Amino acid sequence: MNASSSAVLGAPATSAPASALLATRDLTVSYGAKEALHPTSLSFRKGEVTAFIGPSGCGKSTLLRCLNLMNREVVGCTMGGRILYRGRDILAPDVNVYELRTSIGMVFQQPTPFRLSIAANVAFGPRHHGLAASREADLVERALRRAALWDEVKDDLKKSALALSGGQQQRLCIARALAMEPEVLLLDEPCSALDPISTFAIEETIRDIAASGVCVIIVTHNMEQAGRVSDRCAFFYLGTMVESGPTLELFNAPRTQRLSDYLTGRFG
Amino acid sequence: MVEVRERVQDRPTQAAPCDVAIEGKPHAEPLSKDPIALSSKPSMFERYGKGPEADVPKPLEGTPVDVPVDFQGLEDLARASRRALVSDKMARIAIEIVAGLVVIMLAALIAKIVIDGWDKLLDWNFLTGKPEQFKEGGGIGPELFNSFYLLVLTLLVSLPLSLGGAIFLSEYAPANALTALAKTAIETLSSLPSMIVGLFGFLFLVLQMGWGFSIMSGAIALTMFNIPILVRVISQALEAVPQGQRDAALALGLTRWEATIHVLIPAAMPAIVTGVVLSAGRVFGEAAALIYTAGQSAPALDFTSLDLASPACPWNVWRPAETLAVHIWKINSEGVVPDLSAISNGTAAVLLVCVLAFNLLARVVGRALERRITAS
Repeated sequence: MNASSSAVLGAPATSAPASALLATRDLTVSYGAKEALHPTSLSFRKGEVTAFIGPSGCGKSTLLRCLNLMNREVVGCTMGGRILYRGRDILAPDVNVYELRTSIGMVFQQPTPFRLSIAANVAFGPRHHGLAASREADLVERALRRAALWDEVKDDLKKSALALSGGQQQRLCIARALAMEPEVLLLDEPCSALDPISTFAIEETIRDIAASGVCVIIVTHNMEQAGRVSDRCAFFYLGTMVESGPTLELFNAPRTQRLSDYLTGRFG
Repeated sequence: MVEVRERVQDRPTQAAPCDVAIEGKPHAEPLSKDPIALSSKPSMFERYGKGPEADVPKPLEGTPVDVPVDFQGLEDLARASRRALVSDKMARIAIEIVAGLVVIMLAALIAKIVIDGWDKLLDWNFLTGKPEQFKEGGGIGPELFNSFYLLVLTLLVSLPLSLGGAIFLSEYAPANALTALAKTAIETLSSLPSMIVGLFGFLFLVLQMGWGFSIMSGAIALTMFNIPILVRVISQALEAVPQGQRDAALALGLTRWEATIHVLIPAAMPAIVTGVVLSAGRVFGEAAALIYTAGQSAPALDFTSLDLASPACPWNVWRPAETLAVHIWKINSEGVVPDLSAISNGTAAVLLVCVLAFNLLARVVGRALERRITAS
């Protein structure tokens, strides 16, 4: 294992710092016999945006999908090591994944609005976890405001979410995740299907969400995006976390040749 | 000439030089009369020459006009695209003829059925009256009711079973040999001849189970060939729902079952409604499987009776119940009433109208259901 991969995003490697909300410790992921993610230890704090960068198939999405245990749904996928959320190992068998996912939200590459009205989409999660109908309108407005979508849709809340543009749909999905008031928000290449203007709007939103105290983790192919939105960065290559640290440091002074090559566009 | 000038006027400074080269006629009028010459910019004719005798500057080095125009190549290209246009048009005409023939055939068939049965279709006594054995003027009241009752019962039994089976196959079943076998079995069952289903129903339900010729026997037999169609349609509809919808529901903390009920089924609802309509149409028109199970006799029904044991009670599921399709078959094969062709034609028209009405109803219900789900 690379020496730097055990370093905790700039923090000492020995134990999770008190401020880390979520951390992986020697986390591995295998599909069948093939190890898709080699032992990785990272820590994520509240109010920070962490970006996972690296070429396709490098394990960054795989790692992201561990953090809310979405990999549990994949047949033949096994996880090793530990994932500490609030100091507790969520890979333990007694953890209720459904409860966990209410505080670790996720947004996917393609917008995934349900065939419901805009308001019903946002209220979908809370409704299923026992939200009182009287609080619904407030919650919908709050979530849509946080996702910077409120002004565009406030008069059309009853309209179908499928009528929105791609960028609006993606922000709706962010609002839907935020409606659960998650502590962690996972974004899996949220802008890869969007145009530059929508991308800009979502990046703004991501910064605002982090500023409100949410721990945001974003997977991205786009180096410029990582530079714009993230505080910290982790670089992956072929299933190994090669290097991690504050984004500026990483981009200005990469410690490894691989990251340097990737940043200068030699591969990836 | 005029043509050339008009095109030039459209875009005075950008006209492609080869336009002139291809149209290739010398400029006959004095330059000052050319409207373009009045503009401050040099006209295309000034810049690129207007013919062999033109006294204007030569084109600049490297401008597109220097590229030799491959006239032969352009002609080949034009010929090829003309050929493509012709074959495209011919294909379109051929498809339209075939489609037209199909539509004409279907329309003629429907028109024939409706016209032949028109008198009976509007005859209230025929629609509600009881059938006659030997006299003319018999009705199809019980048959009409039986057809709908049987359809509803069949759907009541087959829809929940098919939904369960389809959900299991598309959402839960592991991808192994057993699942593949089950899917193959369902495919095979869906093309099983209805006569086989009828004979099985006769031997097993009517005789072995001792249910006799009854609505129940008929409904279970129809369920047997309804289930494969419904399972296929519903599981295909569920599989067509994008994976992202499942992921999104799970990421919000829903269990697999909740995701299926609250996200996948609503998303698949239009396709499910279509499947139900299709299978209902088959059930409505089915005769072979019912001859041996629901029977060929239609006891007169008393709609005031609530005695579920009485053969006259319409809701009694243990009474024999001839349906419209079976009635047509029976009248034509062993009917002795003098007006049998009129009754047969009338019944066929009623059957057709019923199928149409059911389709429309199902579509309306499906749309209302969807609106309810999507706008809640």
